[in-house]
Amino acid sequence: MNPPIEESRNRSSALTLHRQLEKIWATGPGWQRLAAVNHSVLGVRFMATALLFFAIAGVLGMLTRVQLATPKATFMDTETYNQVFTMHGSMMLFLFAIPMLEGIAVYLTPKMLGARDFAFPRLTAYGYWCYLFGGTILAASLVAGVAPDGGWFMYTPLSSNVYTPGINADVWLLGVTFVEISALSLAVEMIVSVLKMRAPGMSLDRMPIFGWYILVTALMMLVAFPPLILGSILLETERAFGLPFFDPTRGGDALLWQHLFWLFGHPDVYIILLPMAGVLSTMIPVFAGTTLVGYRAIVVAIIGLAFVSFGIWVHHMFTVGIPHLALSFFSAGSAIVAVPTAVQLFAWLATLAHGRPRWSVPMLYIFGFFVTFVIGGLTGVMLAIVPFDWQAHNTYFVVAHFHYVTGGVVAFPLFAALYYWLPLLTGRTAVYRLSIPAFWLIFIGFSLTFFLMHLVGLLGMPRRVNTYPPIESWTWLNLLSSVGGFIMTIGFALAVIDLIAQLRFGRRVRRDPWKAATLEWAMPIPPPPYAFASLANIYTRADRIAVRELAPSLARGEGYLGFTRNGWQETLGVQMTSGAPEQLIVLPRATYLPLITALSTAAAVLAILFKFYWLSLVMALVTAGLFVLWGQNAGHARDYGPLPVGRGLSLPPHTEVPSAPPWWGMIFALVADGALLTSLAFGVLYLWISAPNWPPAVRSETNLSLALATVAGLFIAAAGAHGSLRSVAGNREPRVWIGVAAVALFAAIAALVVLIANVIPHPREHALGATTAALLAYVALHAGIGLLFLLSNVMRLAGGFVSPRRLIDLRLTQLWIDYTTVTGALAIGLVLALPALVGMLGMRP
Amino acid sequence: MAPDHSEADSEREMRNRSAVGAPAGQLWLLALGFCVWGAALVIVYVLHSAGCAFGWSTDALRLSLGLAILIPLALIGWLWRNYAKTAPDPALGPTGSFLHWVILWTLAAAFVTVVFTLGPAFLLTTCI
Repeated sequence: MNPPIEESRNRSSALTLHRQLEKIWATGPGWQRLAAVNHSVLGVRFMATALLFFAIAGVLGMLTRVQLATPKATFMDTETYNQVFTMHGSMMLFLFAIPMLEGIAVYLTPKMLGARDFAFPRLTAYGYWCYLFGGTILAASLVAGVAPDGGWFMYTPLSSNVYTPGINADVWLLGVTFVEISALSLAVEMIVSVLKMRAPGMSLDRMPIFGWYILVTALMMLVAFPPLILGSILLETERAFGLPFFDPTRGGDALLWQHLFWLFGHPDVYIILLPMAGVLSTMIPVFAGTTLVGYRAIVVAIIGLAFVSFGIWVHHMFTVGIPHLALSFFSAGSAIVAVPTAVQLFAWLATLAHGRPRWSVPMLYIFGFFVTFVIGGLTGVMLAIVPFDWQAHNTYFVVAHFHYVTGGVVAFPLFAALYYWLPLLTGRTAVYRLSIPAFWLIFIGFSLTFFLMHLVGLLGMPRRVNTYPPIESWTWLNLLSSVGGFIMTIGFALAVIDLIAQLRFGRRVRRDPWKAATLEWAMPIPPPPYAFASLANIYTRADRIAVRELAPSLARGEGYLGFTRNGWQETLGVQMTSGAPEQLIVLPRATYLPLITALSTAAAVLAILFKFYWLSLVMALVTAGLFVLWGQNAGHARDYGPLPVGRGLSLPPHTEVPSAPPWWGMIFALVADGALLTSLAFGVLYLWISAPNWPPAVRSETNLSLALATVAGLFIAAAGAHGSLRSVAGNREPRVWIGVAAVALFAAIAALVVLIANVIPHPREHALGATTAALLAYVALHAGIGLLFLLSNVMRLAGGFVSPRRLIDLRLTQLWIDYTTVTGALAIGLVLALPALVGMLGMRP
Repeated sequence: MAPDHSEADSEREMRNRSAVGAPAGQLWLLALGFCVWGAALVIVYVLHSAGCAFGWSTDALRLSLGLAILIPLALIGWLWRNYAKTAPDPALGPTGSFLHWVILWTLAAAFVTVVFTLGPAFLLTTCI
């Protein structure tokens, strides 16, 4: 029977719109795939790459279990074992867990928030390439036999060049830092996208809970990663140039590394947990057939959890000799962090209790999560108690605990999520012949492997050993643990085979096979590159959407932007809290620039690794130049004013509004930058008060007039940036002001170079000189980047991309130089205060 | 429950609601209570380290730690009281009520966290 005329017309208009949008948004074939910037493509790449590293890290884990299956084993020598266990941990954490959550966030967040893509698609692509290249450096080192071998925590002094003279530690420091650049860029991307790029009407109280989880996680990443990036830079500087930040014989302190590492490491556990909790909070209501209980309480809980997770980094350092009273703060914090965690757990249980749960494979994995998470959480509270920690520290009990809280918390929700969203990715649903045995093999294997580690740990077996004596009570537990490891691996292999088999043999399904009520299902499956043919108008909480009614309406273009214009990739920007439509965001199209820039960054990193320092500097400058190039074709070369966006509404393009995504992106990037400077200031003060061999033999000196001239130069540059902005806003010529700012920045950099060259004591002789040089270098680097901003402004003015309405370039420059001025004054102030602080050390008893 | 794109009333309601969206600056208040807790933790940790390193007397150290704990507590308590006294702006609609509720509870949670995590400073030996 022919369809009614109206329905047929609707279908035809939907198809026409689909073809037009597809032409604009699609990634090209062949080599053009390397230019992809689309979130769906990149999200899948992130997840697939993370799964590949998961497989490699899993094999490494199995090798360690073979070695430890029997006492006095000779399967691997000590050196090989050290590389294998270090790479297992590093890959699982840095190359699997974090990128996997990023992949899930990249793929799902825009869809769940009703947007067509992320705010900065090229940054997403750059983040992916950085991750891939950084991970490849680490994986290649394994093949070359020079993999990191100092543990995934890379503690000093073991990782200093005295005890690790090869490039093993350099591979870790550079590879991981490279991957962290990726994580930071994605964090900025996620925050701005969640806050500014939701569907119209999706106020914060209507946002799906997954959005809150991603927002809080990304904010945590923004502050958690800089301490480790700083630590890695300082340690690499020590190894390459001999600046003694961690060398106690020259005023450094090995424990400074532990502080910086765990300032990242402890929140990182929650950075991994929270997105998975977001996945659970999305799936559990669907399988319970009801809405999530305690939405507002969960929001409060995750905000609290995010903060408290930072305040308990010393929890990993209970045995290093910190005064007992200080330990009590971190012990209490480690215990109280269980409360917001429990709030979520009880909300999930209450949701299940309120609904009519139905069993399916994702629910099996959710069950597995509950068991492992509760056990891991309880052993976490045990380890939070200082006297217990003193007994269990450095034993296999700790290994068991963190495998429960990281392994269990990631693996079970991850596989639940893969099965749940598989129909969205592929348009097919699982057949489940292999899925159920795979789950039980994983669950039984996981429990056997890691639960028994608690016991062997309580019996006193230390961690980080490649062999152990034939103690009867240890031997059988280790053997069973290894057997469990192999059962678990078979389970994971079956699950992966099962998921791959679905791609070929899975049953084709229509949209929303789970009867979910979130926006990602209100699109064709698998999703087209533009996600939504038109954007929904949200009137209710966005996890209570009637998907099957909304989807056809959106496909017909009845929402916002249900048309194409100028070949632009368009989506909408909204007011942060209310979700009121505010601006028309035009996104950049596919480009090779992210790949080229990541290759250039990789060249800079590899040049450091092989000690071609001048080449590294050149490649860093090339990378900076490429970033300037990124900006040159962004935005519009003319004013448009408000443009129709559908449904009778007209909005200005993002280039013509003050709260454009780049503005917020810069603010959040500066938050991360500020976290790095704060970590550096913490390091300086920590060494001052705690490190041995202070004060140095030579009296510290800084040229006061030159330091003050530097600060004055920065203030003049800031005035120049403000002047150029005012000039353009008033339709006047800004180039004189830009010139003033450039000259002032150049003078400040010159003064800083002279200051660094004359630091006393010499940076190689004492940590006081090294930290002083680091503070000054921070200011010089920022002033240098300020010059790049000014250069970009000149080019953009010449290209006609700046006008009294389109001020975003100049506003970003002003913000950067203001930040440089304020932080520069603070850093130089600290440098000037250091001699007086050192003088105070004479007052110690 | 379902968004109906033909409903002009709902459209108008959405636009009215949007016109008075809570200012973005209000989002910082979500973090305020725990920022005060974080600052208190850092200050107490630094004071304790400095006091022990420079050999302050137990009384002086305890007094400084006490002040460093009580001042943030008073600040969070004051913020909570002021915020609790004011009803959410009706013009901001349900979003305003939601943010008001969340801010209030994060302040309360931060207050409890200060007491629980820093309270031992009043009880334990200072420098061993």
